Amino acid sequence: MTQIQPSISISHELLERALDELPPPQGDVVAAVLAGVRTQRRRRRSGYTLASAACAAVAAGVITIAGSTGAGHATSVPQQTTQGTRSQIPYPLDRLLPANVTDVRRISDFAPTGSPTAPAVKMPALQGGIFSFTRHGQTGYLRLISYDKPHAPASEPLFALAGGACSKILPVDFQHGLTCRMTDLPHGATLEVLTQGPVGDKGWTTPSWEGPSYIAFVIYPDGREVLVSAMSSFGSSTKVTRTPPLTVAEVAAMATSPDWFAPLPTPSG
Amino acid sequence: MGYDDRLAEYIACRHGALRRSAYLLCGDVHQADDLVQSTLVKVMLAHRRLERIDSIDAYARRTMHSTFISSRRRLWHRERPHAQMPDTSTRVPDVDLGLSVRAALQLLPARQRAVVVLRFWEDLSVQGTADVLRISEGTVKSHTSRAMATLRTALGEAIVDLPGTTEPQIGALT
Repeated sequence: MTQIQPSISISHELLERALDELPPPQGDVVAAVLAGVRTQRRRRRSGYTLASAACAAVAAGVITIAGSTGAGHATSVPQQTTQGTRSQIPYPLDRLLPANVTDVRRISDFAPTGSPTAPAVKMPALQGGIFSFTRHGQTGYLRLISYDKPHAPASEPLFALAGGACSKILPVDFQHGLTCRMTDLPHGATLEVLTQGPVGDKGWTTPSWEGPSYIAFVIYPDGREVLVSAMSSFGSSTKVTRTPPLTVAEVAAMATSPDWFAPLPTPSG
Repeated sequence: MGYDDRLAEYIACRHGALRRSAYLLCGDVHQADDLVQSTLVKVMLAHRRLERIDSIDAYARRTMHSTFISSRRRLWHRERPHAQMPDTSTRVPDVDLGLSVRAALQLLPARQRAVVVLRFWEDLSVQGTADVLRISEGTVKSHTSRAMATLRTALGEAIVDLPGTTEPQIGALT
């Protein structure tokens, strides 16, 4: 077996080896960035309202993933915003939301960093998105991710949610108002419920805050994972401290539903 | 040439370098591309500030690391560390070194990873790293020390310390 020379220090050279398999970028990077800039400027003009978030989703690019080696991102097919009635909500969210939740809209596809401007990843086994909704006159947001790992195509890049989060909490996380509780479910599944305070990107540029959130992970023994996160704000330019309009129990009940991996129903009418 | 044109030219020239740093931070090409795009969008949106900033590169670097660390606070996508540490018994096979280094980097908390990338990939000094991350030089040193301990455990004899040091000195390494 080939052995490395035992003389490599933590250096530029060693880190360069970690870049050996980095594929070249795909698509027109400058055009993708300029599209993101246009989207953000539009959102700024409209004052970070819900309408601006919907516009961001319309302008957001879509990434296609070519192969398991991560051949990458090819921007960008415009994405239409899903709006309106509960019957238009993607399955199975329609059945899982409490009855008095209304005005559900998809405002963004799933994006790895959670940035509303980032393009979304299209993976057949990975479904999700960010939705706004109204309950008791209050606007809330949902981040949904389901990952059917056992049925993921071999060509699909690996993906992992934050399973085992309760055991990996860092001291800095507690400063953000974090709590975490783990529960064993039947058949070897695990439920982790987290509550988190406001989380913000406090860079030099436009801040982007997510309000306090209730997060429920369900991890099945075969690798399937579901994440449901209810937030009181998303992509806000100001810090929001009110609680989400769903309860912790409701979020946990949604995440533990078997419907996430049930076959799609036959469309009627 | 307009300001946006100059920024577009900057993106075309510097995208590759930012992407390599982002890949070391994220350990995943798609997340790296996402991080770079978010960073460059922020840089272009900050044009009013950039007119007063000497180095767009420094601004982009700080924005990228800030975005990376902030994104890691969102628990819903935090990476799952390896259940078992890589075998540290003797040596790492040469052919797997790149993979081993990437896996070892993923064992580090976000801020320690950022310190390693800034100091040992981008070759910044302790002070320069502290400026980018807006932390003290002492914190940079302690993060470096802890990161080194983790990497040393993960990579075993694939890495060695410089003679006479228990903690690598950036000046000696570069």
